[in-house]
Amino acid sequence: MAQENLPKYVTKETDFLFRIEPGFKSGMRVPGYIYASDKLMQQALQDNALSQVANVATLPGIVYGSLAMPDIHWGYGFAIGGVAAFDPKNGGIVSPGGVGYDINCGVRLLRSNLDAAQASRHIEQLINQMFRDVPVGVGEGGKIVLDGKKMQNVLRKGAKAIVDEGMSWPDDLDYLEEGGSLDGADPSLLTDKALQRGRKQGGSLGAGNHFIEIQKVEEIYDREAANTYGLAENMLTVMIHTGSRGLGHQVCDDSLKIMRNAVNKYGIELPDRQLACAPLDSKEGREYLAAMACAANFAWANRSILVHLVRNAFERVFGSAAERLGLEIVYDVAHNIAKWENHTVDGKKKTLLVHRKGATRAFAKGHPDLPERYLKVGQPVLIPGDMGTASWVLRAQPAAMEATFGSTCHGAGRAMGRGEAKRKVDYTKLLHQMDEKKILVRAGSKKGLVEEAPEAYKDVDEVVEVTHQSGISTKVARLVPLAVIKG
Amino acid sequence: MVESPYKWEPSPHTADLAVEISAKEIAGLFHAALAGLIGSLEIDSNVTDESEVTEYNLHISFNEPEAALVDFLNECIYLMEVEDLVPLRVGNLRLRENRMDAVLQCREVSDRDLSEIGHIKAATYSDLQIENIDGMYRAIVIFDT
Repeated sequence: MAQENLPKYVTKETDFLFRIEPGFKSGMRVPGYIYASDKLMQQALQDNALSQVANVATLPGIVYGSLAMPDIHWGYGFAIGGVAAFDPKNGGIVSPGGVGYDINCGVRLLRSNLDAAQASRHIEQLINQMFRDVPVGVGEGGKIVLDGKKMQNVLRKGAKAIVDEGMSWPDDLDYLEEGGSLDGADPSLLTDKALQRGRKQGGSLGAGNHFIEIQKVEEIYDREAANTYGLAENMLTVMIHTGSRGLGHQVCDDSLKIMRNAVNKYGIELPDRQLACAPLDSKEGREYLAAMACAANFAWANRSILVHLVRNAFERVFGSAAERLGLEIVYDVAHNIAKWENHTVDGKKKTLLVHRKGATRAFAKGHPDLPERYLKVGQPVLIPGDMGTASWVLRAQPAAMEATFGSTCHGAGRAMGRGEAKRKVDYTKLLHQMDEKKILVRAGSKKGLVEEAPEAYKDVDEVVEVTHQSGISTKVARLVPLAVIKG
Repeated sequence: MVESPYKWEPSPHTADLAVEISAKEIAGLFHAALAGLIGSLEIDSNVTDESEVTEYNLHISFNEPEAALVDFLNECIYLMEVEDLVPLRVGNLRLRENRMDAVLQCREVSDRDLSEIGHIKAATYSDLQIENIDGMYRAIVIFDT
């Protein structure tokens, strides 16, 4: 991209990296770094995304830079695809806007022993069974009513609570980010409203871009990683995308009310109210992280319950135990979260709070947080695409640890607003388009489906290509959809 | 009771839903915001039988009107999601320096509503600024979807 096509203070550093100089916006403490191709950068320039990257760069205690991954687009507060790390020893802050309302929205991938071609005659029955069994949208109750002790257990222990309920395999926990549970959760910090919103939503999909998708492994790009992750060509897989539902939304909203007072108390100036924050060593900061951990744990538990429902559906359709069908978890990633992590900055080891807002952790081989089986290869990164194209499994690389606080993209990223999608996409034509691709669709609402049309999203293959070429995470497998449930 | 002319219209946003609201008085922005929320969800706000309308009292404390607007909308979202009530109109709205009192006129959530409600998670503060332009108060509210 020629320099004259870029705004002032924005320069192209490499084929896949752009830099925003602190002069771009008043108060920037560090530069912004955007991982993108020319085409993706052109899309990012169409909306407010760069301004949001610059806004984050003004926050106290930010380290190195305000980062954005190739799926960058306009969000609220942080841009989607945003990553920012803060140093508690340098006045660093925590911001609920840097996590989002859907705390621990994330993705879980299941492998199987099934060949997609051989299983093809069962796919429709399978997706219909799942659509019957899995509550979608907000009106449907979840599969577990979470009252009293059950809710407390879920909030404190996350996915472990679902093992306690007998609905999850103990070995599953090894393949979930953080073992499916963040320490330090304090349920006493949650309001009654948050608990009420979560009470009937345990084991439910939600709406918007949440989905359950039956897929086929179309192509393997990294044989070593694929073998380690248990993936092979033509394998049937299932991907689940959902988060903390209404409970998480309420935790964020409740926290922002506290934070908007905190910014006055601590004298923090903000370019955007959605970036309301508090110092990490403050009561408000500590309490937000403890509440956020509750919501994150709720999300991991939610995904575990959905895995249970998916396994049950497979058992019913194939007449064989889920264990025999090999329905094991490949991995689970969170893409809206803030976590304490150790990183090396300017040659020094530091403990930082890393915010990822529509971005995924990508820890390279040897990292102690990885399950033993993945230590030699590195963490799987799960990238959901739009429902008509593909999703990806990537492999985290050391370059991510060096350049992006161990982070990478999270998905295709939207290219078109929901309102625009509703105006431009015809529901009947969309169904026909999916039918031509032989993708079965089961949706909670027509409007929701139209908003999620493939043309509403960036090209996921382009996003992944940039990620691969930049070296932060590299291609392992491309998964294509066979059937999808949308909320 | 403050009743003001108001309007709302969709505003472009890549990832989420946004509405531009305007009114002659700040209080009118709340009417516009509720209309924008219900309209964005494409929920039917007409009531054929007034006996179906129930009232819900709302009290919000705030430091700035933008915060009041967000809190108001998020209370409405909570009502729909947990209390099974769709707020249709704002009545008896009293706006003082740091406090808002209102009566929301609601109806019960219908089966048709259920497929729409979950599409908006929350009202955000992002880029929210109430401005007076040419005698009209205006703001853009971004909803997380």
